[in-house]
Amino acid sequence: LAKANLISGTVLFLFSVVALLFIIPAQIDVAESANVISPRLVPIICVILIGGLSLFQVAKTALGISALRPKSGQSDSKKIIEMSPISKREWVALILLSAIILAAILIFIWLGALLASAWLIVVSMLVMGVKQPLPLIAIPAGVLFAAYVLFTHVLGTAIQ
Amino acid sequence: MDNLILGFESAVTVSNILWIAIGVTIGYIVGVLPGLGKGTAVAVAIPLTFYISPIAAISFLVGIAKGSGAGSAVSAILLNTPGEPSSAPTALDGYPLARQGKAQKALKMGLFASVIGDFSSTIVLILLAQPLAQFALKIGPVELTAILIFSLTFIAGLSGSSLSKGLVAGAFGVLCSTVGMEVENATERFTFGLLELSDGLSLIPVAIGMLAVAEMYVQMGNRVQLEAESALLKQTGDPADRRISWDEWKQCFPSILRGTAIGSAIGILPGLGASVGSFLSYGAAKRASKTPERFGKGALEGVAAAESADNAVIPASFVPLFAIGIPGSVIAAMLIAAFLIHGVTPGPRIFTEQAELVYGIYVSMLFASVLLLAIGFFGQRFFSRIVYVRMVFIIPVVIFLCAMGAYLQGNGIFGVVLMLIFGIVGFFAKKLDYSFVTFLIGFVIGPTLELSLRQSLSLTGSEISELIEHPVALAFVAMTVFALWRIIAREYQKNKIKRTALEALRA
Repeated sequence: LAKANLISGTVLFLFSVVALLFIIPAQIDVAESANVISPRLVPIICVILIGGLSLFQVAKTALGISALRPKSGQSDSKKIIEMSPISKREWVALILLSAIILAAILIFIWLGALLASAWLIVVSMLVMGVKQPLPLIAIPAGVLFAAYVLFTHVLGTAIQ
Repeated sequence: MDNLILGFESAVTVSNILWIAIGVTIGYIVGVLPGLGKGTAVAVAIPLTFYISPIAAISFLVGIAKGSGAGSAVSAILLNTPGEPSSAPTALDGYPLARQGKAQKALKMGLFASVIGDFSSTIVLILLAQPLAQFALKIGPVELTAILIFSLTFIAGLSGSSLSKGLVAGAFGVLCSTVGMEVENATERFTFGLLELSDGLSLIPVAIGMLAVAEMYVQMGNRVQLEAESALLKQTGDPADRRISWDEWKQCFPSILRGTAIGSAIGILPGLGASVGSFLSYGAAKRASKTPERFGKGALEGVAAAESADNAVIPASFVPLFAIGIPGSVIAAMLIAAFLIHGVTPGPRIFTEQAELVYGIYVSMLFASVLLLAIGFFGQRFFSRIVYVRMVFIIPVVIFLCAMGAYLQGNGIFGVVLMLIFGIVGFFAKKLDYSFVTFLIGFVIGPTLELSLRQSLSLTGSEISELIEHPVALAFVAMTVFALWRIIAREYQKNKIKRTALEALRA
């Protein structure tokens, strides 16, 4: 986790610097009167806290890594430093599922709710290795019908 | 007492009881499925509650939380894979019991302990919340700021493994809550020219993304491992494992009582969560036992201790929510969203302004406990079979429900976009150990924290010395410093042990 801590700490620190120097000045106006508490106050406090604590985390992790630095022939320490908390399968799941949801959003905008919903369920199942036609047809059909009945007849609303 | 009768009258309706029963059943099913927690279920279900009465809505969500808490024991006992982390100690003895052919016995004890813990803890909530609210009514913005900062620090320190990461998550949550129109100056903040952001980030898509979608990413990545565990499950047909004898009841009852007390106490403290409660209770039962060597090998008291505490945490965690308006857990944070949907602001005034609603919820919670017993007992065989359902069928359905929930409560398709963004943020937060619990609680209390901080600065003229005029605030500042010191000391000790172990490994 050490390397992951170092990377996440650095990213958050950079985010806080960018937010402090560019985003907050561009996105929040200064207070109109000196008697009014600035609308930037709480965002600035949060960003400083995020930056400071991330920097602390980077420093703490770097010190930990230097204490663990492998001597010649000791590969276990290197492994501990390099160990990723996210497995290859999880990276694949993150990318695939995000792409499926993103595509469903676009389908919703261009073609409507029904096709987007069917896409979301069917493609997710296909990606996870479901090949039998019965569940590929029955599950989306059942879920969409249940959602239709629930919203239009039980709860008395409608999804446009 | 009058209020309780009033609550009874408004809660005991056919539709309300039906919603509680549906909630408990859904919760039980979700709890049984490994990896799907009560937070996920409640987040996805909130948008449905928009169309029903406030009492039915909150009761339905509480039913889901209670059902899920009890249901998570099923997969812990049968699969050695807890439905939620808080059921991990249940698996320590439940799974060996199942392997000995006593699965039904363990499941029944898990259910009874859950119901006793849950019911008793609801009584604790009823007895404590209102007196605490009367005290809370006397506090001003300075005190409230100090209490909120203390709660957030406490939650940040205890809900993850690192205080600094927890505080980063909390600060990020508060930062996200500042998006949209600022009330005092009517200034837009972080809207990037998008009209959809003028009202701020909607809690529902943010919560669904952080809790449910992030969890689905993880589950999708680990589905092969989960399904392999399901395939190992064997059915037991021994009739001896189906009932609990009187001697076993006598043996387990002290553990249930102890677990209920521990769970209730842990629940009231913000941020500690059900996992701490169930592990502490399990440890206490083991220490109190005359035969501690049986623990881990199939001691029924182990199941009773863990499950009673696990379920006692949920109702007790609503004490700070009802009394002060501070959510002490993810479920409480989710309930705030449900309350706000119905135009109700939780906090000390709720007891005077919405007494019927609060007491109606109390009565519904007691009913939920009874229904939990009935549904869990009669549906045990059905729920035991749910663990066979493959994740490849569950994940797509959950993702669809998430998208639908985000759409309904988050400005249409923009809500789904938000859900996706916060799903990715939640995934990294989960994997890199940035407490998403602290993030969500920071996000929920952010507006109150900002308002009370502004009022405090105006009242005190930004002079720290003015704090002397506010002893309660001063006490909470001192408690924050003390909590920080204790958490840092604990982290230092943990790191030291880890380093020593690593050095020993290298030597």
